[in-house]
Amino acid sequence: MTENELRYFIDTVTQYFKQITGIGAEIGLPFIKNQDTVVMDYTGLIGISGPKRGGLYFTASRSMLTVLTQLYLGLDSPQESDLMDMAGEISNTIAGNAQIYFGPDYQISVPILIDGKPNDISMKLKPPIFVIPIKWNGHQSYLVVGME
Amino acid sequence: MNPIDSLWVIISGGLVFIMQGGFALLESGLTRNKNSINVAIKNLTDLGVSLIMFWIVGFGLMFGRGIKGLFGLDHYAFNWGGEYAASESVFFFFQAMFCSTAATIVSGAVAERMRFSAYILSTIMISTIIYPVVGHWVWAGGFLSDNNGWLGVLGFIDFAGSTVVHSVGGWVALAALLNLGPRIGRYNPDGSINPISGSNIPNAVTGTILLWFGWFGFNGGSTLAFNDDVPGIILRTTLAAAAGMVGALAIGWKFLKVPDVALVINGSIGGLVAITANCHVVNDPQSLAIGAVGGIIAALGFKFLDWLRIDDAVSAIPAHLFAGVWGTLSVGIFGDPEKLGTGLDRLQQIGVQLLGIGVVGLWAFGLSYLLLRVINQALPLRVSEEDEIKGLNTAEHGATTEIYDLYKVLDEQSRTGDLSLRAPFEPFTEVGQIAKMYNNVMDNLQQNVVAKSEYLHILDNMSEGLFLIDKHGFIGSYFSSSLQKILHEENLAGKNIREILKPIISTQKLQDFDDYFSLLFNPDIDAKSIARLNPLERLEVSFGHNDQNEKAIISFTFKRISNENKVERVMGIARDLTEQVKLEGDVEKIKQDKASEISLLYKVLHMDPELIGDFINHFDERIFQMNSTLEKGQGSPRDVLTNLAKIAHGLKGDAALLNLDFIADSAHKLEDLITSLKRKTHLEPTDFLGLTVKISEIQNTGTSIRNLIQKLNQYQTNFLNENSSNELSKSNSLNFTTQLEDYVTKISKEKGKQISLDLSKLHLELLSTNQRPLVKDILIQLVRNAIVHGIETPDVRHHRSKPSMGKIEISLTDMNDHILIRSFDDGEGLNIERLKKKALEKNVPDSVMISWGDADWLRFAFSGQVSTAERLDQSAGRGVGWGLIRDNIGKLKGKLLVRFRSGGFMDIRIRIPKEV
Repeated sequence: MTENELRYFIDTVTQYFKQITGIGAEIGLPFIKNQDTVVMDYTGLIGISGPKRGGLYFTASRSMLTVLTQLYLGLDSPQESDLMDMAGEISNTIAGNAQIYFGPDYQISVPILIDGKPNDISMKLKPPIFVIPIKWNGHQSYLVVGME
Repeated sequence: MNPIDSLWVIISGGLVFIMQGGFALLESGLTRNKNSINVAIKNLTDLGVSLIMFWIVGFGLMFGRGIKGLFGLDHYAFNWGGEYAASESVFFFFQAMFCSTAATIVSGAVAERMRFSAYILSTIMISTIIYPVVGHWVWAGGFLSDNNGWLGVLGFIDFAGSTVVHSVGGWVALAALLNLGPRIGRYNPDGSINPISGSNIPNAVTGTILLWFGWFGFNGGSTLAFNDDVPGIILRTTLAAAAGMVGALAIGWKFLKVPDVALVINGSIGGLVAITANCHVVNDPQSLAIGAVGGIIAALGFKFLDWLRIDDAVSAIPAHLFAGVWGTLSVGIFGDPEKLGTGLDRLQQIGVQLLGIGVVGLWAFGLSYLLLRVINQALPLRVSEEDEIKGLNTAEHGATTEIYDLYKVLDEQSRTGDLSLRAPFEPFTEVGQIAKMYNNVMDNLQQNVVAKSEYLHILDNMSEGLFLIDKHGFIGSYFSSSLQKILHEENLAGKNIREILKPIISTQKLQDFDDYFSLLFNPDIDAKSIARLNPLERLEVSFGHNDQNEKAIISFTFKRISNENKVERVMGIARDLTEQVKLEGDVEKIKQDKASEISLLYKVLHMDPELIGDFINHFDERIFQMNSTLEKGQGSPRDVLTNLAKIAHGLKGDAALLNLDFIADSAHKLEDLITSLKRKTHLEPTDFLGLTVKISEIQNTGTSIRNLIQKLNQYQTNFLNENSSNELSKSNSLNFTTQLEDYVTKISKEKGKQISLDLSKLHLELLSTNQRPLVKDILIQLVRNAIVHGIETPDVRHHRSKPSMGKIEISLTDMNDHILIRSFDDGEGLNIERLKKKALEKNVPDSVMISWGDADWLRFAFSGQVSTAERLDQSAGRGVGWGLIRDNIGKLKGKLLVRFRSGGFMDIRIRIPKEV
């Protein structure tokens, strides 16, 4: 995992927030993931294979996704499915950008949407796994990336 | 008719017959090869066709018993019943030849474009109606003595047929030409005229001579008797022909500036046609005059026709029509009225002649024009444009000539550019020889072109830039296409290599190149020396594109191309080495990294596993601490950085102690990163990315070592199980001591100082497991500070009257209610001057500084923010060491006490509570 790759993913997420909500996101200090789980209410997981392998996921709280969905889809009381869609939407954007960045040599999987907190989702991610806290509109979320 | 007369008329008929051959040779000789067969066939065909038609209808119309002298009504299908005898047959034979002559005049004029079938129709037209009727008007009484044509009755005289045969032929030809139009390409839209030259002038001349010969019979036989008139007639015929030729040549040469062969041909014929009407009534001098004028008219008449845009292929109209008119007029102008026997005076005679000319013209031209017009509706008189261009030989008769086949191949080759075409050739023929030569040329050309395309293929596909330069430095027109890519320049052909190099290399290099270049073309200097002197062997170039300089590394090699001791050209090869050099650099870096890593693992292998294990645990802890610092993110980013720096510093010290240079270097790099970040005025969380990545790299190294140790531990189970903790700690501390000693030796050597280290009172076993790592840290830092900041170099010590060997005493002793850690060195204590400098850097105001005493300076030094080491290297420099000591003292719940004398000593004591 290079610094540039990390930066690229971070930029994807922050720009996404800026574009669809007009409110920017703040990045916290990046750190290396240890055994502690970094999983929140909804998670979009993407696997990457090719010359380098690994994966990344974006995880956010229910409240954050609710606000996001309200802003983006204009729904007052989003359903579970809407929140999942939102998580999927964000993950798709990240995945799409990833494909562009890495090029045709790499295969980016279709995002897997996870609802709830499973024990840990590090199987696809190759250590060292970097955790980047992303704060948006007062809500905490994480972008977790682990690639060779 | 008496036999001699018959004989003479028969012979004359034969001579007239030969004129057909003459016409054939003349006409085919004056027209193009591609139509030669067509012209020849027409000549033979009209002979046969006209004979038949004359026999069926023509003779009857001409000599049959007529009405009002207009045309005959009987004697059709001459001698069908066999009622006529010899003389009549002789007469018929003679007249038939004349009819064919009239018919055949047309074929020359209309050559190269008239359809064969249409021509046959026109022949039928002439021989069936037009000629016989005119003949009736003028000569009807020749056969049946009481039968007279109306023109003849009026006194119109045309001895052998200047009007009846030649003018009629000319009129019909004119009518045909007006219906046909000129040949393709003859007249240009802008008015200029393209001459179309004949294919065989020798044949044309031979034909003319044959005609002249035949005319002896044409005129000589028209007496229908072998009498005293005949010789004079023949003589005058020849004289007129000669005069015509000479006159045409003389005038024509002047007029046209060149003696064109057409002048002599048409001149002769014109003279012959002109004398035909009057050779029986004029004298010799007159015949010369008549012939001359006739010849001139015939030879230059083409100008008139061209002016009217009437394309007469062989000048038949001037020769037969114009000269014929003149000849007919000459009867009146020159003819001896007594000999004429018409009873008319000269003027009247001329008048009658004019009448005859006019009426015949009206009849022949008018009727034929109309008839041809009508025929044209049903059957186009003219061949298609394509056929005309192809040539009537092929188009009308399916005949090909060899030369046409050759032409076809050449034509196709020029159209398609297909180099594989070859011409068929008949050996032993002239055209065959040409075809064979052509094929050889094509073989050669094809090979060269193919070869050339192969060379170009190579040039296009090679990755090096291959090019040639002449002695002025100009690049040749052929070079490999890669050259353009390598030099970032298009259109290199003809450009000068110097001009291309100038903007992308330094002035010095350019100068070197100039010098080298002049040597390149000097044959006195051998190739090896030249190769050594090449300044462009590995050249750094800089391409400026749109304000962005693209750097590359290009290699140029030059090879001379000599010819007999002179250097003709130089071949240059340019290679783009940028990628290669970059890869080499990358590989080198990886090698170095790997080497360091390997040496690390090697060291680990040779180290005491306990020591390493200890180190690793501590290492893991530190990594964890750094990560937590990031994770918790307490305080401002700057605070985070400070904390990270402390931890990194400790990690570095640990590693340095064990000579684990690889890790120490990584930690040092981490500290560098932190320092550079600290200098930034505005810190973003994203700035920490690099740090995190670096930490992860260090973590990786630790993981590798741990894995290694685990492997080793498998073989060391006995050791762990059997030894008591005391033994363990003792052996541990023994090793730590050794390490400290080694460390001191190493650093003091680095700093050029002599130091003796006293560790005799270092009792690490007094420490609890929790305390040990913290204390070790402290000890390391203390030792380091003592060496770097405390002990002076031998020179300075000497200056201060101290022994050159400095003394450091590290002790850890039991003081009953506490443990005392002590570091004593006889160095310079605190260097106040240096501290002052640092204080100034830290913007401590002068006023404040002046008031500071030792204690204040001490506090300042130990605040963890300053280092008095001059240079920042691994073993000192960040002022963090003291911060670490302070932190650990805090963790140990200890107390710090410092005494020093500037230039004398430094005594640091730390009290920590005892723990189990």
